[in-house]
Amino acid sequence: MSLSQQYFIGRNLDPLHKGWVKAIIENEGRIDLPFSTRVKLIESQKNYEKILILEGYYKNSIALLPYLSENEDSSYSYLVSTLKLNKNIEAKLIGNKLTIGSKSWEVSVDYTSLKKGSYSIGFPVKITKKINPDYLLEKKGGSRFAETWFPINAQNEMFVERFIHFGYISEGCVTVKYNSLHLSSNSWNSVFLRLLTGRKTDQSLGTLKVA
Amino acid sequence: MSNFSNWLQIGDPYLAIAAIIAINLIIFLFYHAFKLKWPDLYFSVNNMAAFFVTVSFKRYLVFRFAPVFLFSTIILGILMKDQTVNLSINLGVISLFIHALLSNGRAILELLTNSKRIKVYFNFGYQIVIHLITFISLIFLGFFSGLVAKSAFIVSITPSIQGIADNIWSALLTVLIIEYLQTIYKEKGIDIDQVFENSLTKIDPKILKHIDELSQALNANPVLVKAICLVESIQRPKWIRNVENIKAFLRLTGTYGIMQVRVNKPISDNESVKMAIEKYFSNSKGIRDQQSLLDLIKKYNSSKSYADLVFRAMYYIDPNSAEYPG
Repeated sequence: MSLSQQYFIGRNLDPLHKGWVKAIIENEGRIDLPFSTRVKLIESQKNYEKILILEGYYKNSIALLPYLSENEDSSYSYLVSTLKLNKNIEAKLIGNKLTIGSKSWEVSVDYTSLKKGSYSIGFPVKITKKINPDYLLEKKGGSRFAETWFPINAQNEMFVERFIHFGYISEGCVTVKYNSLHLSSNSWNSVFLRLLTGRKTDQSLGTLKVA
Repeated sequence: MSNFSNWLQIGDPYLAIAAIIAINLIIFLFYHAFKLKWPDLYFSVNNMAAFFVTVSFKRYLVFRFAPVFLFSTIILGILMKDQTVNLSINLGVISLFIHALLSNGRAILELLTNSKRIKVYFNFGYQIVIHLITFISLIFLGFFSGLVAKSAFIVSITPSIQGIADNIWSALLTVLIIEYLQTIYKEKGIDIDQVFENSLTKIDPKILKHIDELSQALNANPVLVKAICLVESIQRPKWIRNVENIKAFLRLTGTYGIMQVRVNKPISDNESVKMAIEKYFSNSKGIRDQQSLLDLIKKYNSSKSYADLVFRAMYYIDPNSAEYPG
């Protein structure tokens, strides 16, 4: 791998990683970095790679990233050199239909606090509160990415309390509902991947237009 | 203690106390459970007795006397197996006298003292009479339960104290064993994702890197190649591959390496990766439709179940690479 070259966090879409990797930032401790985060490789050491995070919540932080797998002779990194990203994804929400590009999904929306307008889709967060364990089981209609929520905020909004997420309906949110009788994992998995491969700025994945 | 028990003619005082406590406790627990389970059917002896006697005398009899008679008879049947009929009768009477005192006797006292706990639905005198009749009936019921407890039928169908103890131990041991087994085997069914996870960690990082480099060079689908590598690794772990290399000394053609390529000499895992990609998977990048992927896989291994496993592995590595295998 080349030092100072840009890479992306990848190889973490399996059910073990659920779209996230753990890294360590000095003075912050352990943090979670989502799939597709752009980074710069500073140096490769025996047990870790030192990276500079170029976008998202930890932009400009230096982190230590362990290897995906390693033994005495070699190591396999989370970093991938190429990843196709869409410059500016525009998601449209009309009624109970969320459309990104050519694909649409049925969602549940709480329109009491989600008004018409344009919202910025932020980098995802990994929720820490406990969720129904069935939400993570794909054979029961769940999704390996169920713990990932995408914040949506209007311009100049200080505190974000609205998200695009999977599971149960919550206030002001856009929800791909969990349905144990239906392969809802397919819906959320593809929403997750579409959103995370969008890039508007280094803090925003794209735009959500609520009609 | 023994003089007192002789006077009461209740034999062994400890057995007598045990019988009295057991009968009253079980009757109490029964009504308590009934109250919790069917609150709309339950009525307290204190404040609704008269009401229900008026509404349905048959129901009152069933509710008030049947369970008491049943429990008393069974318990006396167990405890009085080796005792005399007189003893059984005496204990029946005493047990149900105590029960009547604690229930209807208490209700009478509360009525007489105008306690707020009791509701007077009907004529005060009528309620007192109902309670008195019930009280006396229970004593007679005690007599009959003691008598019936010593009948041949009850003696034959009730267990002995030793039998009860044996059964309790057996039940306890069975429950403990089942709980233990359930804890051990809970969710121990084979989860294919767990198998993939375990297997992936065992693949040499060099091989994974090699797959990435060669896939890029030969325009192969790296997820497909990794999935096949994963499935092969599960089916033939490294130690088995090492044993198979012994075939080479016998100059036998066979499948070698992590990708199980057919050659006439042993090859390393990396070499097998190169050969497999060159022969089967070059220019597979960008192929996403299931049928085309299936055709590719079947060229490598014609088994349908093998292909299903490869699709599962692909979905495991990257859900974007294949349709949900179901």
